[in-house]
This record gives sequence, structure tokens and C-alpha cells, in this order.
Amino acid sequence: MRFAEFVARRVLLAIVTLVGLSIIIFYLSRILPSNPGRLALGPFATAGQVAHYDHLLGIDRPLYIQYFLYVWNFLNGNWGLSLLSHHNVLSDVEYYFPGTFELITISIIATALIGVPLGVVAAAYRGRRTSALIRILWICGIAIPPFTIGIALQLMFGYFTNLLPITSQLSGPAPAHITGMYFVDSLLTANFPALVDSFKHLLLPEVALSLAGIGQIAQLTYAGMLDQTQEDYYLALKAFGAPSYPLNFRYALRTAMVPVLTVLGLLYASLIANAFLVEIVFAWGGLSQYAVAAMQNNDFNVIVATVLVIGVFYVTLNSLIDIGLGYIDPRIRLGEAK
Amino acid sequence: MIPRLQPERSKELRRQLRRLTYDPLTVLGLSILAVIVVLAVFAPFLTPYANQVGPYTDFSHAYLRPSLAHPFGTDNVGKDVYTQVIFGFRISLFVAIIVLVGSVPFGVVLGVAAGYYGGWVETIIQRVTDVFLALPALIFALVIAGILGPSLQDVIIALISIWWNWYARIMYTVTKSLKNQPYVEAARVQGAGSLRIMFREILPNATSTLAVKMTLDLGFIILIQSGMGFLGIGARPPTPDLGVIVASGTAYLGTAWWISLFPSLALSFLILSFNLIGNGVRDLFDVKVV
Repeated sequence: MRFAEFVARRVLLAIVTLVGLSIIIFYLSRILPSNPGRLALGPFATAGQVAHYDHLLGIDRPLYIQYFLYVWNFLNGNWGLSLLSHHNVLSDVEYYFPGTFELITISIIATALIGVPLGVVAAAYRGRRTSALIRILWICGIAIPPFTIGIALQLMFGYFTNLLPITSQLSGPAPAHITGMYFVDSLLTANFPALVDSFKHLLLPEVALSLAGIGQIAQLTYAGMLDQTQEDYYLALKAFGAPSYPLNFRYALRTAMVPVLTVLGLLYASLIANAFLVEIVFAWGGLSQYAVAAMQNNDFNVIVATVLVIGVFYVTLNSLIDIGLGYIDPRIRLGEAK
Repeated sequence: MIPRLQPERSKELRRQLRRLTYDPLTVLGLSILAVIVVLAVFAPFLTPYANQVGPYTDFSHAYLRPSLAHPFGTDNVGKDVYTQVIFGFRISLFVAIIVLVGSVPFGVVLGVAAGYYGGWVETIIQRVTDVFLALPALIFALVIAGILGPSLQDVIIALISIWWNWYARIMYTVTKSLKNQPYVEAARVQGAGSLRIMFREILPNATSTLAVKMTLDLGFIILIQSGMGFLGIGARPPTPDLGVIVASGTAYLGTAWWISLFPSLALSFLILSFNLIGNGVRDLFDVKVV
């Protein structure tokens, strides 16, 4: 299969998947006997007013028509109103998304910058004790729920010592709005006080969000490096007296990086789930907190929109990883052709 | 007749299970799990406050620090936190097992069928699992449980309805790689039917993969289910779900840190035990797919 064909197939599959997801989420959100008109208008509205509101929402029409209308509106940037706040959902998502995006993006960068060197150093000092340490770090990171780490950090740095802020994204004034991500915006505008402020607020949530991934990446890098040192090419070069620096870094590390990069991509996509837990602990005020509030209250326009945004993010990343792997390793593309 | 290899297989299995106890981390995991299972099973006999599970308030005993009478302190309505935790273990273990029991057989059958038959069966099952894997498990479960309603039963339904996908995926991959193996061909030549080949020839070769995946999943399901409880979607107070208890204490971190901290630690130990055991089993069987 040619590469272009492979990419086209991946993109098509991603679109089919997202259409399927939108159908499931839409039907789920509409299928249960909730009463959106009543929810929006409150207990004092008359039955007629509720019926009128339901008509405005279009929920008195057949479901499949509602679905097509919804998709049409969604693609045209009309995501409806929140039943609770009556805000425009699209502008709400635009407001809340950058905070979450910044949180998970910084987390994945930190995971790579800490996890990979940790694995390399461990490989340099390989041995039974190092193996056990890396393994414990990895398993504990996965086992401890992110909200537990968050709460422990809040106790240590907030309640017991008061060293760092433990809620929200900023204490002081926000930097000028460019991307909506406070750390990035304060960097771009060279707003030093806001930069320090947002950095302090980022620290604890980032630790809570990243620990699991750091352990996983360190373990994977470590195992990959060790595997490479058993390979024939490595042993041959070593026997010929090749210097260890280029041998380890130009060859072994580079080959060991393929699975590491794949897992980093998958981690990045799945961080958005853990962000749900971390954002609530730190009252971060991002997309996750917005979505959770909607789920608690059956605010269906918000649920469908936020879930679709997350789905697009998740599916796009996963497809990009597949395409990247197909680019690196032609065997993957050929496997698809069969 | 195809020669039966069962006795050999079970002897081999017993030998491998014994080897499991050579790895200190696995033994640690098994020990933690054993303690937790004992606490969960005998919970009503291991606390004098079993009456405090469920709706109960006693404000005269609220916010008590950890002491001999209350090793983990008492919470904001005067319940003994230790009692809530050991009853919470019951819920976590129960949910994890029920979810696997409800989802694994379904996923396995679909996965084997997709891998074995190929064609349109494969295409349909693949596309459907694609959709269910288009969101992280936690978020998908949150959406479903959020819509279904606030109860433990809805959490279980939500988790079962997404969990079968991974098993379908794994069994699909395994079946595809095995269906052209010589021993499968041999069975076919001897006149074995499709069902026999799928479930007597192919499935037994996937047991180690499934065992590893299921052990790790017990931890993963508990992680997700407690996360749902923590977010207030799914189980709600006064259900002694570990995530719910942790959440109920977050408002009092400054004054009564023990309400959140001890249940969090208990939860971490529970998940840790399954991960340690799962990794031991993985190394033992040398499974790569999971």
C-alpha cells in the first residue's frame, strides 16, 4: 500500500469512528426521559411554557431528524445553549478548553523530558536494584489514582506548609488574551508577574497528572535500551571497540525511542481523562470541570459538545500516531493491505 | 481424534504458579490483596461500627482525630472512616469482578468470531470497537453513568458496556495470528467444526493473555470506578464507595485531613496489589499483547 493511500484510509477510518461516536453520544443523551424544558425553565414555569421551550429546542421531533439537525448545527458552529447557564456552548468551550489543553500539553512535555533521561540513566546504572526501583516507580505511578496524589500534594504544600497555591489557574490579574492559556500568554506578552503566578499554580496539578506517565516512560526507555544492548549489531560494534557514547545514543537510544514515542502519543491523548480528576481536585476551571458539572446535571447540549471535542482530540491523536508509525515502519502499511 | 494434552497443561500451570511466588514484588502484591480480601469479606466482624454503613449521622462524634477507638478518625457526619474503608473494599472488589464477568465472555466471543471469520463480520466488529475506543474509558463511563443515573448499578452497566471492547480487540489479534497455525489446520483437516476450532483450539492458547489482562484490569476498573465516585457521577453518598469517601473529605482537608487521606491510601494499596500481581503474571507467561 502506498503511503498516501495508507494516510487516506486512516483519515477515513477516523471520520467513520467520529460519526459513530456522535451517533452513540447523541442518542444516549436524548434517549432517557429527562425533561430539558423543565430543567432550563425551573419549577415555576407553566406546562405550556415548558412545551414551548421543548419545541424551540426541537426535542419534539423524531430522533434521527434531531441528530441530523444537531450535526448540521455543530458543523456550522451553532452548538446550542447550556440548559443551566443559558450560555452559548461553543463560547463556553472556547473559554474552558485552553486551560485543560495547557495542563495536559505541559504534562506530556514534562513526562518526556523527565521520563526519558530517567530511563537512560537507569540503563547506564543497570542492575537488579535499578530494575526494581524503576519497576516500583512505574507500578506505583499507575496504581495511585491521580486525585490521591493531588490530595496528598495539597496537604503537603498547601494545608500543612502553605508553600504553593492549591486551587485555580491564577491568583493575580490574567495576562492579555492571546491563546487563553495563561502560562503561554504571559510568556508571549513577557508579563513576568503573571508568568510566575501561573507557573506556581501549574506545579502541583502537573505533578499529580504526570507522575504515572513519567514512571511508564522511564520503564519503557530503560527496557528498550537494555534490549538494544543484547542485539547483534550492538554486540558486534562493541566488540569492534566502538566508543560507547555514539553507540548508546546514536543507535541504541534512537531505536528504543520508537515505542517510547508511540506511548507518549497515547499518553497525551489519555491525559485528558486524568485531567478530569486532577482539575476537580485543584478547582482548575478547565474543560473537564465544565463537562463534569454538565454530566452531574444532565445538561445535554454541553455533554454532547464536550464529549465530541474530546473525541476529536483523542481520535485525531491516535490516527496521527498510526500514520507516524506507518511512515517509520512500512511493514505496518503492508499489514493493512492484506 | 485429536490427542488431549490437558493433564500436561495443568501440571505445567501448577509449576508456573509456584514460580510466581519467587518474585518478591508479586508476593508483596498477593499479601496486600490477601489482607484486603480478608478485611472486605469479614468486614462486619472486624469493626464495632458496622451499623454506621449507609445513612447514619452522629454529629457529636464528627471530625474526631485518628485514635485507638477510630484508627482512621471519623468523618464530617460522625462515621468511623476505617469502617467505611473496609466496606468500600467490598464495593470495589464486587464491581471489578462483576464488570469482568459481564464483559469478558461477550468480548471474547466477538473477538474470536471477528478474527476467525474475517470479511463483513470482522469489518462490523472492528468499526464498532473503534467507536467505543474513541474516548478514554473514564470519560465514556462518565457519560453513560451520568445519563443513566446516580447509582452503583449504573456504574456497573456503564463499565460493562465499554469494557468488552478490549477483550474483543485482544482476541481478534490473537485469533488472526493463530488461525493459520499448523495445529489449527490439522484440526480442520480432521473435520473439526468452526465452533470447535474457535473455542477448543484457539481459545485455550489465549488463556495466559486473558489472565494477565484480567488481573491488570481488576486494578484498572477499580481505578476508574473510584474516579467516577470521586467526581460524583455514579455512586453517591452514603454508599461507602472509596472514591465517594475521598470526595466527601476534600472539603475538610484543612481541618480533618484523615477523612480523605486514609481512604485514598487504601484505594492505592488495592490497585497496587492487582498491578503487582498482574505484572508478575505477565512476566511469568511472557505475554506481549496486553
